[in-house]
Amino acid sequence: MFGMQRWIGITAILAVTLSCVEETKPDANTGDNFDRRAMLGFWADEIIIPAYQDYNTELSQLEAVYLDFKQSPNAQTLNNLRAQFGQVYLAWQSASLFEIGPAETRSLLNHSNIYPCDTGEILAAIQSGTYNLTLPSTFDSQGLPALDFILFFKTGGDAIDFLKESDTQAYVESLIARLLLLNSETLQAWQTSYRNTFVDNDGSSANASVNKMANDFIFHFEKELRAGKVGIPAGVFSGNKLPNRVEAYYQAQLSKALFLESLAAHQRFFEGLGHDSTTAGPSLKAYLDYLNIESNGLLLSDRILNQFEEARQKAQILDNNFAYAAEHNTADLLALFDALQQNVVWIKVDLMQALNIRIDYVDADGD
Amino acid sequence: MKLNTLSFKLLSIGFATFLISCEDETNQNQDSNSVVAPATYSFNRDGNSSVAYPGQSTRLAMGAELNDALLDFSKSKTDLLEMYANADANGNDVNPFQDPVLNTSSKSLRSKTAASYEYFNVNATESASIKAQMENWIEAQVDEIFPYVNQAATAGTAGQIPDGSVARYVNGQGLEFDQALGKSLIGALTLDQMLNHYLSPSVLDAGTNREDNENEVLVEGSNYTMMEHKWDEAYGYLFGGSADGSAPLSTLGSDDDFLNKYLGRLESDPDFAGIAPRIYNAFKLGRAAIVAGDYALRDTQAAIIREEMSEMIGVRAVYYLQAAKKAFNDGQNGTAFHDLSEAYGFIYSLRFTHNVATAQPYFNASEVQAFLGDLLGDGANGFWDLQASTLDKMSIDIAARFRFEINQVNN
Repeated sequence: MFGMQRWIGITAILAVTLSCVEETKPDANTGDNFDRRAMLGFWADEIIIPAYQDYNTELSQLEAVYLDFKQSPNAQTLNNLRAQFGQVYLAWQSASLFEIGPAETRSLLNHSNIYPCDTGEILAAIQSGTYNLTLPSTFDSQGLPALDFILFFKTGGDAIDFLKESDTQAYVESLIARLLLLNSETLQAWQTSYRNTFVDNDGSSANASVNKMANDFIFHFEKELRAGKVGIPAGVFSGNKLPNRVEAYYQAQLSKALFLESLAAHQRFFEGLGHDSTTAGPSLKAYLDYLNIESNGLLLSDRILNQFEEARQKAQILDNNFAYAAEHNTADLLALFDALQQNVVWIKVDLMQALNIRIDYVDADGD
Repeated sequence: MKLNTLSFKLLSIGFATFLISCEDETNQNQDSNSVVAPATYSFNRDGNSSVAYPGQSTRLAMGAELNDALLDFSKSKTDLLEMYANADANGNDVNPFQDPVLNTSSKSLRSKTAASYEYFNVNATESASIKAQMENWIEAQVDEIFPYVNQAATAGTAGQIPDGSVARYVNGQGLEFDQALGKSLIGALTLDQMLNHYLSPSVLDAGTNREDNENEVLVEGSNYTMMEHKWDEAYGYLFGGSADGSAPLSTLGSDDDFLNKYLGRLESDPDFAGIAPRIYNAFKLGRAAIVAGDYALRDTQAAIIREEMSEMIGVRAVYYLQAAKKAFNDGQNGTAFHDLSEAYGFIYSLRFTHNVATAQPYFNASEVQAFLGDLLGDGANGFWDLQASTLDKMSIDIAARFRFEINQVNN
């Protein structure tokens, strides 16, 4: 029952009519000369591929640290394992944004980060040893949330004992191997053929790379960052707070860091900073500025950037543990949601209209 | 062609307006302007509420449990059939529900399936075949889906298939029987009972209902006249699951998985917003008219409800067909199949709509069967082979008989 994850794409025959009335602007379909191709190349080479590489490196390291633990299970190796898992989860935040091409084909996000996980199913799978992680019904018993549960739901010696059992180990190894397989396949596809496929598709049709990537970006901002990490735990959609829905619930002190990492990844993508946070390049911000899009006397791009900062500040005052924040500082978490929601409006409505890109999804029917 | 359709629609609207204005005049002659709908659906007699529809609330709750149970792979065919009939195969009392209140009830989903006075009173054959169809889908769920829930579906083979982040369970043709059943019951049970039974003058005016209503002869042990109660029972199929039944619009869309849910979907679409208050107001005014003994006004309100509720079924059918087309375009087969399974049930439900001008459904049983055949008929593997052109043609054919246009549904 994870509403935000369920969505169906519905033809959006659009609110474009509304948008076209008020502003006079170049027609992005035909008129402007913004270098979309250069932007796509920058996205691929400096943002997307490095994000997958980084995540892959952390996953490989997780595998190594896990083997250390397996060889000599003790408090120290468990700590190392848990700490490295945190690094993996942080690295995932940047890789998560690009559910396009090889990631989309593999449903990378669905296999990597559907939460809350189904703990009953996970324990049953461990006990029985029979499971098929390629089935969609197992989305919520694999990936990072499943590892979060397995590594953290027991404490001290109990955790070590649990992780020493061969049934547990077999499952953990399957989970790590599957994360690595799906990501390395995705990375490899980008590094070989898909990079050029992506960059060459530099038109402005609904299926062009810029249009699809912009949709994926705002979809991820809206569903994963705004709703998943903040709105659902804060109770925006249910009417009552749901602290146990936070990301990385079983080590929830990581949840704010994950949020901030994801927020930064969205911002870098928007403003044209490489995965290394320093290399600059063309971006949606540059595109807006090229078209000189203003909103109430300010550049729209500045409004959006300011709003990223506003959200960051709203997050800073929260407890590191978003489950705690949902429980005890609900109003502050709701304020963070509102700050994010303002940017959803500016990006999903204003930016998309300015660039003449149709939204290609609508909210879940919910059934 | 489109012009013809449009002209026809305009003509129909004009005709309907003409009819309504005639009614108005009649009403004025009867001084019915004095009938005023209350702010909420609250009616009292001697200080106590005269509104009651517990039977409808019960059936909606039974339907919710059945819908859930269809995806509980530990259930047997017998379990599910007993939930549908609230009886065993021999008609003996059973306790199939989790909610004990439902188990003590003598009511059932089955007995009110295809059971309206207007459509099925002298049509026992079709009624029986519709009930049998529902049971068929229940059995097929257990026989054709349950054994394969742990394998991936492929063309011609049942199994699970991803729809976003959730798994859907389809047969070899891509059809979810649970959706086919759940959405068909919207028409065959809730809509049919509301429009073709409880809002029917034949039911409202049956026996001595009018006399009793005027003389305030109450149903024994109750605070309502029979006519008042029949009207309330129609209301209960829409709002019987609402926390505040007298002022239910604030929770519209989340009070059941049947009519309420999908009326909520229309109300949240700017192209259709306003439909829910129109229906709610018609229910209030019609009920007030019964209290005032103004039966012409009552029937005018029933006509509004019949037209709007029927429209809602048509809109949802086309909505899901178009959603499926989009999903296929995006390469999301699982999402498309889920949409199509919902469309399948909403199309099945068209047979229970009520066109006020003809006193017939907007689409008769054989037309509906033809649509359903076409949905699965583009190839041996049903939805797996479905063509976008089939979806568009069907959308056009369905929309043509209603007021809405396809582009209103799409956006």
